Order: sequence, then structure tokens, then C-alpha cells
Amino acid sequence: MISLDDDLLAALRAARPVPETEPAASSPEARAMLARILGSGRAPGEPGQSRQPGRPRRSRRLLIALPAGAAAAAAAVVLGISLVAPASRNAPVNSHQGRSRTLAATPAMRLLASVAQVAARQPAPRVKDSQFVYVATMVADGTGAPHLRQTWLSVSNLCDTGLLKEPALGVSEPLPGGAKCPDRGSLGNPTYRLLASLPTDPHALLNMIYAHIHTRAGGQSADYQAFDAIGTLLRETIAPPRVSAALYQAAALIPGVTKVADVADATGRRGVAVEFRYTRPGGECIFQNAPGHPLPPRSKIAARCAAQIAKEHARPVTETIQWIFDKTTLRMIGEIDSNPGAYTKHYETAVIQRAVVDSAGDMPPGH
Amino acid sequence: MHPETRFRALFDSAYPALLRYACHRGLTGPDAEDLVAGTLEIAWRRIDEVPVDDPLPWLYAVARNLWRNQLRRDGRRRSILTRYRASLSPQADGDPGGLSPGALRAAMASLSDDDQEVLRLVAWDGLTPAAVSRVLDCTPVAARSRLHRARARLATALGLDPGSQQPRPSRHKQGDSYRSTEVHG
Repeated sequence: MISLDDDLLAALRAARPVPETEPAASSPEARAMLARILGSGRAPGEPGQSRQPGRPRRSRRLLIALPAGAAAAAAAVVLGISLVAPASRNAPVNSHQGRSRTLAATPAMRLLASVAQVAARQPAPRVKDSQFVYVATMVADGTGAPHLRQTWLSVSNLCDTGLLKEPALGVSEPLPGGAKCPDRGSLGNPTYRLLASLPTDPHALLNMIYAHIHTRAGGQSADYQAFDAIGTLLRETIAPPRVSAALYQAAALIPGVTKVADVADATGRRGVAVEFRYTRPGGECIFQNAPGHPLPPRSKIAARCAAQIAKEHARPVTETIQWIFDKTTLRMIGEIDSNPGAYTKHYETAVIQRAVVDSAGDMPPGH
Repeated sequence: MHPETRFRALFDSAYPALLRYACHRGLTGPDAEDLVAGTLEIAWRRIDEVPVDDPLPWLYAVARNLWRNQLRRDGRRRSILTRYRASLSPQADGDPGGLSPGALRAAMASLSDDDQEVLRLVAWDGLTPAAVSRVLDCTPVAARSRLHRARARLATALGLDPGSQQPRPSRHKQGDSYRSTEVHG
């Protein structure tokens, strides 16, 4: 029988991550959160409503400055402001105005404009609320050969349990969702119906995305997060053609997106890519062991982590996200997420198939 | 007690614990706040289901589901499951053979998610095996058993004898030959 106070668990307890500031229920953030929950209009026992698409996350920095009593009332004001004034040094409203006159001025913008045109011409899928979006990808996480990943996600309601399969990892799990039923998802976890509700004007769409993301102090830039957020909306999803097109057009409006002429996806298919490159301060050590792979000795891990952190402190780390398109059809075929500071350098995907099927676990016709 | 009165009291006691819970899983800033808010929103809607005496395991179970669902959905961020900030503490630098926080977290990161979670719940969130069983929806006996196995694997990953904290004579070779258990997504 293990004693909960044995030395190993005690040492582990001492190694726990500690919040930068001691969390307190009396803090302005906590009082604003409480007011928001109680002011949601939902009484206990009522089914929840899905979060409005594009509802911006609260601006933590602004709320901190509010006196506790005023936080609830002011939160709505903050939300309203952030829709039109995202917290970015490269605020998209200004960026749009500045860049819309020079649309298609860079190779990346021209490529994304072409990709959007192709996407807009695709036939709109016929979907029913009861159906599921099936996406098969080959995934390589830098620790072994690419493996198959299959997801089934409800077209309309995350409360309809989906399915995730990654046989190489021994994963075959339901994807239960719907903390608030019915739940058509959010910008971070979209269903087809949520995507269908998004604006098809790229400027409005990008404003919504910038409002959704949150600039973190010392963290990733708002532009990087916006590019990443659009990637989330494109990844393992199917969207109506006009929305797909708007997503690519919105990405073209993000400052700093560049074109890469020749890139291979996780399965070796070659394509043309757009890339967002972000340089961050170093200092994080990431260690991920792969199933079936030997773990280095502890002393080696510690030494590598220490060396890595020291190196990163001395030199900032550049992270990149690439979306890869077939050079002929201009359809998205994969994605590469590169994090040179990590042991796992890349997370690469290659899209094999996207389809709408009747039930979670069903394969599209022809399989 | 009126539901709102009860929820306010629950919020005051649970908010700090849930933020620490999020921090223990590598979430910071808005991500941590979103997890806390999502959990407490569900608690408000289902206030009649929240145990009066010991609500934290119930809340942690909700938080765990929210966290895992998001990780599962966002496959590209799978590595967050095993991502920790390693500190550059003098201990970590000066005594690589000891149980430094950096080495412990690196060893934790080498375990399966299930092993990590049971260790986090006990060592970091401060739950008893009985409370862990309510979070993981298993029997208390199973929770103890899982804790026992997870602790043994942690010791092995650290090159220690699982039955004690003594280094094995050939711990480096042991480390080399260690194979991780399956990673659950």
C-alpha cells in the first residue's frame, strides 16, 4: 500500500507548477466570472445555450483594472469594444484598411486568393443535422512514421457523441462534447453548422477571429494566433464553400503571411504553401516520449532540458505554421507545425479524405 | 439553501482550487480561466447535482472532461498533454542525480496520460484515492491500484527502484531500456 506521504510523492508534490499569482475568489477576474455566470440568464437545470460564434474572450488585462463592483457591468462594454478594437499591435481593423488597397500584392496573398477562388467553386455539401463530418488524415509527430487519424464530428451538435481513432496509438475513443446542449461548437471547436454561420466577408470574419483570440503577455502574437485560429477552422472540418473561401481570404489579410514554393506533406506529397513564422522568447523545455520508443536516461533528459532552456534563453525560438496546397488543384492537402525548440520538431498532417457520413464510425461510400 | 446563495459559496471555495488544477495541467492565463469558467458554468446549471459535502472531485471530473475534449479535438496540440515548463532551479542544475523538480516533471512527461493524471490528482491536487475514484469514475480500490502502478512507473522513469527511492545499480541502462506505456489521446 502506498503511503500518500511517501518520499517520492512528496518530492513530486514539491515539483508541482505554481500559479504566478495566488488565485483568489476575491480578485476582479473572479468576480467578473461569477457575475457572467450568474448573469447568463440561465437558471439551474436549464439546458445551456451554445456560445455565440465569435464571441470574444474577455480581455483579462482590461478587467483587472476594473473595481470588483463595476466588473460585471463593464464586461459587456469590454466585449463590445474588443469586437472593433482587437488587442493587437497590428490591429486588424487598421491592417485591413491599410492592406485592402493592396490585396494580392504579395505572392502569399495571390496564392490565397487563388485558393479561395477554387474553394468557392466547390459544390456545397448536402448535410443533415444528424450526420457526421468524417476526416481522415495521416499524422506525423516527429517520433515515427505517419499514422492514420480519423475523426467523426457531429454536423450540428457536439452533444451527439463523435469518435476519434488513431489505431497506431491504440486510440479509439468517443468524442463526447456538449457541456451545454445543444452545442454547435465554438471557433476553437467548430461544427459544420457553426462554420456555416460565420461571415463570408473576409474582413468581418477576421475581425471576429481577432476578437476571439487573446494576446498573451510575452506569448504569441495576435497575428500568429489569428493564423493559427483559422487553421483550427480548416483542420478536420468541412465548411460551406463560401466560408472556406472567406477563411483563406481572411488569412491573406494577416500581416506576415508568406509563400513557400515547395513543401512536402506528411506523406511526401509536394505542394505549395503559405507560412506564418513567429519568433518567441525561449525558455520552455518540452519532452514527449513516443509509444514504443526508448526513453533516454533521466540524467540525459534533465541535461538536454537544461541545455535547451539555456540555449533558448540565449536565442529566441522561431515557430512556423504552414498550410500546404496541391500545386494543380490548389486544394489544401496538409499542414506542418514546426517548433524547433521542442524535442518533437514537427506535427505534420496530410489530409486523406473529408466526407459527410450518417453515423460516427461510418466510412464514406467506396470504403 | 437558495441555489444562487449556494453557488456563490461554491464559487468562492472552488475558484482558487480550479485555477490551481488548470495550472497543474500546464494551462495559464486565458486558457486556465476558460477552463475554470466552463467548469463553474456547468456547476451552476447542475447545482443540484454538485455534492454538498465534498464538491471538488465532482468539479475536477467536469474540468477533466472539458480539458480532455479540447485536447482531443485539437489534435495538433496533443503534445500539451506532456508539456511542462522545466525550471532552471539550482537543484536541477547542480544535482542532476537528485529528485529535482525538472527531473520529476520530465519523468512525469514520459508516463501515459492516465498515469500522469492519477499522480497529478494525488500529489498536485491533493486528493485522496477515494476522491480520485470519483474524478476518474472508478472504484476506490481501482484508484489505489492505478496510483500504485503510476507511482511505480514514475520511479522506474527516474531510474529508481519502484519499491524504494534508492537508485538502481544500473539505472542508466534501466532508463535506456524503459519503454513508455501507451499514450492515450
